This record gives sequence, C-alpha cells and structure tokens, in this order.
Amino acid sequence: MIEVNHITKRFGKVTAVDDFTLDINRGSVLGIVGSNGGGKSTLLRILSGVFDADNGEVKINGQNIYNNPSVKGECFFIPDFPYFSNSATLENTAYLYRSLYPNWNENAFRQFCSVFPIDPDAKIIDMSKGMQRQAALILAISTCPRYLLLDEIFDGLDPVVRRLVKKILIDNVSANDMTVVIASHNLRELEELCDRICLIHKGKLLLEREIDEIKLGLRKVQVAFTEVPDNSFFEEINVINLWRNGNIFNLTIRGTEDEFMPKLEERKPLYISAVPMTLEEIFISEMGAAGYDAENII
Amino acid sequence: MTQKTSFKSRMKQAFSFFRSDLRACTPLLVVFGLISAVTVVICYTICVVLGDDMTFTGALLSLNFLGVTNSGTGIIEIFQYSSANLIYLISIIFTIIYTVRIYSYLHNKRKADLYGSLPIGRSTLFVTKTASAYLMSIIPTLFFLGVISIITVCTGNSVISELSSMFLKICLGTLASISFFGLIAICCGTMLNSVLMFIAVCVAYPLSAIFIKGIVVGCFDGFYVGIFKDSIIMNALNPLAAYDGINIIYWLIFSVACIVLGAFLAKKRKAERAQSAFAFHLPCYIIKVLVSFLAGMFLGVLFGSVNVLGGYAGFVFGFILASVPVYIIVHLILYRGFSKLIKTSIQLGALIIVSCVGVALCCFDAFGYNSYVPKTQDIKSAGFYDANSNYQAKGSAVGKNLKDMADDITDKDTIANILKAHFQLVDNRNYSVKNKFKNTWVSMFKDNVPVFSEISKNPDYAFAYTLNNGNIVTRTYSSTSVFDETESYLSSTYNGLDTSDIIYSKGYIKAYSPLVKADYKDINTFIVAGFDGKATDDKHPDFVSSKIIYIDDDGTVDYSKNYKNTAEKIKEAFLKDLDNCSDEDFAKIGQMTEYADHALDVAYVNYGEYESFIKSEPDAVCVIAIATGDVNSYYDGIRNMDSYNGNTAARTQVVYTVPKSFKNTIKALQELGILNSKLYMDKDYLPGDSTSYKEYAGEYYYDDYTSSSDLYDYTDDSYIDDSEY
Repeated sequence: MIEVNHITKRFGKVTAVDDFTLDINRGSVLGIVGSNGGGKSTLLRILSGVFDADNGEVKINGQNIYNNPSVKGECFFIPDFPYFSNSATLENTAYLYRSLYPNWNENAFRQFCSVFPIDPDAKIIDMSKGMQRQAALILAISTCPRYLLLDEIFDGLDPVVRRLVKKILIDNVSANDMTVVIASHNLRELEELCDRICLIHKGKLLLEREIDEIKLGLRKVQVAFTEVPDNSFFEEINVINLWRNGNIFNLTIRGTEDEFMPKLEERKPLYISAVPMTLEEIFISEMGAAGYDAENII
Repeated sequence: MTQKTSFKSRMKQAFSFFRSDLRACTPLLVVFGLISAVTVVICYTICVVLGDDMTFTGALLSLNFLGVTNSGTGIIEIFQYSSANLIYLISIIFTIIYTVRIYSYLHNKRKADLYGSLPIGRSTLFVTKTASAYLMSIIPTLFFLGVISIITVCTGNSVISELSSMFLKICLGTLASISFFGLIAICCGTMLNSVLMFIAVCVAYPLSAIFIKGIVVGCFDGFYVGIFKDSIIMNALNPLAAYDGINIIYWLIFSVACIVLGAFLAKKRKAERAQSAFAFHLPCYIIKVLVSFLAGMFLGVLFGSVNVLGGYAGFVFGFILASVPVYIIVHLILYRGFSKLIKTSIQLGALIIVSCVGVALCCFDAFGYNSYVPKTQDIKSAGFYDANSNYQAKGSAVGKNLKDMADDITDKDTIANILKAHFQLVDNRNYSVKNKFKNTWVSMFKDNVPVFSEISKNPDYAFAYTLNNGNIVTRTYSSTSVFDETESYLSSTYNGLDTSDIIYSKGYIKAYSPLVKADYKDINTFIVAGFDGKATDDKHPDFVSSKIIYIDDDGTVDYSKNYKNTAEKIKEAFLKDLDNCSDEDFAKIGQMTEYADHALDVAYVNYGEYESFIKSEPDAVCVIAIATGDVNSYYDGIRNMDSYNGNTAARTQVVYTVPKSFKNTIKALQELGILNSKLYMDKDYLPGDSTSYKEYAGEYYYDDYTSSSDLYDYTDDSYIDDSEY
C-alpha cells in the first residue's frame, strides 16, 4: 500500500501540498480531484519519487520511494505532458524500459501494440496528443507496475480509446492487484473508474472516501417554504451550500434523506424534492464549502 | 530502508541509457565525424602537396612555417594552421553540444518528470550520462584519427606518435570539459545558464588569473614570472586548457572530483529546480564575483596605469566603476530579474574590499619584498644564476630550480660577492617613483604572448639563499626592452651589474660551469685548442683544435673515439688542479674568456687574438672550451630562447685556460695524445679531426694542414714567442 504521512511541499512562498496524509490500499483505484493549482500533480510527483517532500514521508510497501530504484521499478508515472525524445519510438523506448523495469512483460507490450492503433516504429513526437498518451500507457502497462500513477490520462483520448483504457486499467487491477492513482478533472470518467475519491484544495485534503459513500452522503434538495426559516435551521440540518430565489431554496445537504427529511417536513414546505448529486456537483459544492467561489467563477 | 541495485543491473541500465543517448545524438555524431574527417584530410593533403618540409607533426600545430613561407604559400600556411586548430575546435564545439543535450534532462520539467520517475538512482543516472558524453566525443575522434592513420599508412608515412599525442589531448580535454560541464549543469536550472556559466568560467578564470599575475609580477620585482608558465594556477577552472595535454594528473583529478561532486549533488538536487535559474547557488556567486573581479581589474589597472587620481586611487575608482554594474548585469542575466540582488550584494562589497586591499599591499610593497636582501650572517648557503654563464640542463627552467640552487655555494667569499651584486641591483632601483600599474599590462602577458615571452624566457640573474633558520629566499631579475618602454632605467640597472667576481670564483665554477655540470647530450662543443709548435723564421705554428665533441652548424655530429672517457679524464684532472691551484693560477684560467666572447664558436677563434693572448700569458699551454645548447640558436640573437621552451639546453660557453701549473690536466692531455711532450698540440691526435686556421687580410681561411711554408707567406708578421717552452 501507499502511505502518505503528513507531507508538505513548498515552491518558494507557495505551499503546493500542505500536511497531507492519505493511505491508498493495494488493488484500489483512487481518483484525485481538485481545483487548478490545488496540488494534484505535485502530489503525484511526490508519490512517484520525482519530487522529494519537504516534510513528511511517502512509503510504498514500507519503503521510501525517493531515489529508491527498487521501489520505483514497481511504479510507473505518466505525467500530464509525457516526455518523448525526438527519436523515440515505442520500440526503442521499450528497449530502454526492458533494462530498467524488472517486471517488463514483452507479451503484454506486443499485445497492447496491436490493440492500440499505433505504429511501434513511428516517432512518438510526431503523433497527436491522444496518441502520445496511448503510447505512454502502452509502455506503462507493459512494465506491469504495481502502482500506476496517472495525471490527466483521459485528456485528448477519443471515447473509444477512453473506454479501452478504462477496460485495460480495470482488468489489470483485478488481475494483477494493481493500484491506480488518477488525477483528473474529468469527473465523469473518475466516477466510472474509481473506488475512492480524494478531493484536494490548496494543497490540503478536503475529503477522501469511497465514491458511493460520497455520492450517498450528499443530497441536492429543492424546497419552497411558506415561512422562511432562519440560518440556524440550515446549520442544524447540515446544509453545506445554499442558493435562494425568493422562498425557493436549493440546498446541498450532507447526510442521508432519513436524517434531514423529517426536519424539513416539520417546516411544512410547499414543495420538496431530494435527488442524488453527480460527482461534478459534489465537487463544486465541496469546493464552494472550502472557499472556492465556484458560483462567482461560473 | 533503501534497496541496493546490483552492479550488473546498473551496468545493464547504463548501457541502455548510452544506446538511447547514442540514438538521440546520431545525426550530430555523423556531422561531427564527417567534418572532422574532411578537415584532417584537407590538412594532410596540403602537407603532402607542399613537400617534405611539411609534416603533420603535432597535428600541424608545430608546422615548419619557414618552409611554407619560402615556398610562397602564405595563404596556405594560414589555412593550414587554422585547420590544425580546427580539429581541436571542432572537438570542443561538438563536445559542448553533446554535453548540453545529454544533461538537458536536468533543465526541462517534462524530462525531469520522466527521468525522475525512472527506476535508476540519481547519482547513477548522472554518472551514466557523463560516461555517455565521454563516449559520444571520443568515438568520432577515433573515427577521424582512424582516417588519418589510413591516409598516412597509404602514403608511407608514420605519424603514430603524433596521433597518440593528439588523441591524448582530445581525450583529456574532453574528459575535463564534460566533467566540469556536468557539474555546472547539476548546479544550474536551465541549459542557457549552464552554457553561460561554463563559458564565463572558462574565460573569466584565466583572465582573472592573468590580472593577478600581472599585479604580482609587476609589483614584486624579483618574483619569478616563469612560475606561472604552464602553471595550473592559471587555468585551474578552465577545462578547455586540458586540450593542451599538459598537467595530465591535475586534469584527471579535476575530472574525477567534478564527477564525484556532481554525483553527490545529483542526489541532493531538487527536480523542481528544472527551468528555474539555479539548483545550487554557490556557482552563481562564484561567477558573479569572478566576472565582476575581471571587469574591475581591467578598468582599475587601466585607470591606474594612466595615472588617474595618482595611480592607486585611480585603480580603486576604476575597480568600483566597472565591478558594480557588471555584477548587477550578470545577476540580471542569470536570475532574469532583480530577485536576491540586494541579498547577495554583500559578496560584491567583500570583493571590492578584498581586491583593493590586496592590490594596495602589492603596490605599496607592504611586506618590503622588493628591497629585501638577506643579511650575511643569516645566510647558510646561496646560489646564483647568470644567464650567460650558468649551465642549464635540457628542459629545465631556472625559476623552477631556484630552491635547489640555494644550497649550491657555501663558500663565504662567493656568498659575499653574490650579496654584493644583489645589493647593487636592489640599490639601483628606485621603487618609490614607479607606477606599478604600468608594469601590470606587460607582466600579465609575459610567458603568454610570444613577443613578450621571447624576451623573458629566463631571468638574467637569479639569487637564492638558504637562511640559517631553514627558510629559502629566491629572487629573479630580468632586463627587457619592453620594460624599457615604461621604465627606462631598468635596463641600465641590470646591464651595469658586475658579476665577474662571482662567475670566476671556484664555488661558482664547481656549481654551475658546463665543464662540471653539463650532460653530454647537451654539449655541442668540447675541444682542446692551442698551437702545434713554436714559430720559427720559416714556419708559423698552426692553431689546432682537437675535437672531443663537435656539432657543426648543419647538425653534423663529430665525436672522437671514446669521447665520454676522454672528456671525463680531462674534466677530472682539470677540477683536481682547480682545487689545488693558487689564487694567482686561478686568475689565469679565465683569461681566455674575454677573447672567446668575441667569437661564438671557440673552434674558430681568431688566430690573432689567440696569438696576443699567448704573448700576454706566456704561462698558458692551451685552452679547454665547452659550449652547450642548440647549434642553430647560436645566431638567432635571442638568448636562451630554446631553453625556455624546454627543447634544448641553454646556450652557454666557457673557455678555461690551462696554465703550466695545472700538472694533472697537462698529464691527462699528454696521456690522451692531445699534447706532446713539449706541451704543444699534437696534430696527429685523432687523425682527420684536427684542423688549422690562419688569418689573412682580415678574413679567416679554413684549410687542411698542408705545409708550414705555404702558410708562412700569409702570416709574415705573426710571431710567437715560445721562449718559455
């Protein structure tokens, strides 16, 4: 498993990751979401051993990853803009990786080369952004990593390839007990893929739960009152976000319907409707609660 | 806990990286190889076409320019010389290009992501990349040197030693340059800063060293300038100097130190520093100080030398005026802005204070260096060098042997004479009126620029003392025409120095005379010369020189049989006599020198002069003459030039008269058959080697001995009084 213990990373006066603690279990798929500049990519770079945390430590299977080749041999990191040299092809890059990664699987490499629509002898630098990501993914999966760290992996992929990628990831997780950490703004994709979601804002961990728990734990409620209650009422029923139009209120409430509906019913509302939230709505709501003024930005 | 990767695994990884880098640099390698190969083929072709005079010697760096000029191909000479250097220039340029490419993984965020996440240690990666850079540079070098080898073998020439020398130089230069660049690349955040830093250090360091040398040599009269020649101090941080192929041990240590330090820093380096100005700031501080110092020294010395504000104040004004803006400009270039400028300005302040105080100590001779001469009672032993008389072994330089010289003479009288000459020299100097900055410019380029170095090869005089407390004091002095332009009294000071009391002392002869000290490989003349009989009415005696060793102007070597044994026997006997002779007899041995001084070669000594000498010294039997040095340099008019370059021994010549009282010497010469029982030269000694000379109408004719009657007509007014014999 990956243990992240109180890590902090600063770039000059900016604190990109602030006292961050997280445990990621083997065989799970963790989605990392957060605002721009929230620290997702920095966190992934620390997890992959590219950056060294200023404070705290990251342990993978009980070992520090920074400057530890044996641990890195079990990890693969695909950054948001993967680098390929001008002369790099899948074949010659595979030559390098064969000697670097102890679990390199030649059969898997050949298989993925045939599955993805990529010429293994073509220069990767000449390929489109999406093709380059596919190339990076082929190489990544072929190293048979126990820990796969992906930053905006779905960016630039067409729907067919996206589905293919998700399938490959899920197959590897189930077959090889691979742990996947994905940082993305594409919440719909994460919703389909991830077991758990981790929400980051300004380098801090806002929440980290199983995706079902998050989705069940928040409700979007529209209610119309004859008599408008005071603010203490909304605090009482755990409202984290409120938008009002006259006597009609749009509320985001943390908790289950069993918990807040009886209290709302007591106020004899003219109209009441509670529906589950999408991950995107949850994201906006939570970020708003954390001070990220999503409504004004929109 | 960190698991270790096996050595075999590391080697495998290193090879994979090398192959990866090789693939990335292949087009560049091809260009490098082709340009190099074509260049050397052109050079060599021209050498062959120009004929035998032209060689590929020393990769064309030691071309026979005289031969080229004579053949009227001056333009080719220029091209050829350029081409010769091009081989090194091309190597340097491509080495830097490879190196920049190979270390770019440190300076690009995307590359940093890739290489930072790969399962290889940072130090291992750095060393692997460095090794790749070496191989990238050396492989094309091997290629074009291979081309040369094939051509030379095909044309029947062999330049194996030259190619080896060339390869060594390129390898050494490549090793040092890549290692140093690697260290700089680790410290910098961008490729541009790395290149700027590398160039700045390679240029600023040696120039700064030259300015320091100029100040030291210009201010401290007696300081041996040759100490800077080929000194590593002058190029310690300029790895491009390694292409000279000298100081090999230093450059190997330098390279290893750079790699070790680079590997250590690679571990500490933060990947996020890619594309920021610096990963480690110390090199930045060094380069800012170095460049500012250089600018400050330039303007300071310029102002000082033109007497702005009276000299030193002008130096301070100029130093501050140049160093401050340059410091700011360099900071802006390296940091792309003003950040940390104020914070780091303390270094600038320290630089100004240290530099100005240091120069003041030199200029005002705060330690009394210039006027210091040890006291007689403090001296245990001494040494003295006179450029005209001291024998100097091949490849040696006076200044580098100064400390050894300090134990040469223990004789109190000779030491007293040395001190007297030293005091005379120092007293004649008027240090108070001298603007030291005027001398700085000349002193800077002594030993570096041919026009200056030719006249400052070796000092005219050198003094060395071992004091009773064990300390060694050394001073060297030169009189040069360049100094005359700025300080006109210097030349007369040196030229007026009377050192005859020292040179014709027993202690000096034993310590420095070529008769005692010279290696046989350095001796070009060892002869015994004198008359073969007494003059009679119908016969004039021949002046006979018996050649033990003689090398003609055209390089023809003429050795007598068993020349070493013969010479040793004469030397031993002469020195034995020297030890036992009276002061009166000792005074006689130097008499012939004043005549020999007029003739560069004692073998062609003026008959008339010798005749006069015989008349004035009736006690003389013959002379022993020894000359060392390159025969061809006899007439070049530049004293000791070749000695400076280490190509040959210093040109020295001594002529010692053998008086009748030197029984051992006379006996030895008789036993060897050089002198007969009547103490005349024996013409039959070593048949064919003895030649005779006569004077006629002011010219010297050379003839094999025929008959005395033939000669008499031409020497009708010559007369030898041999009554003593």
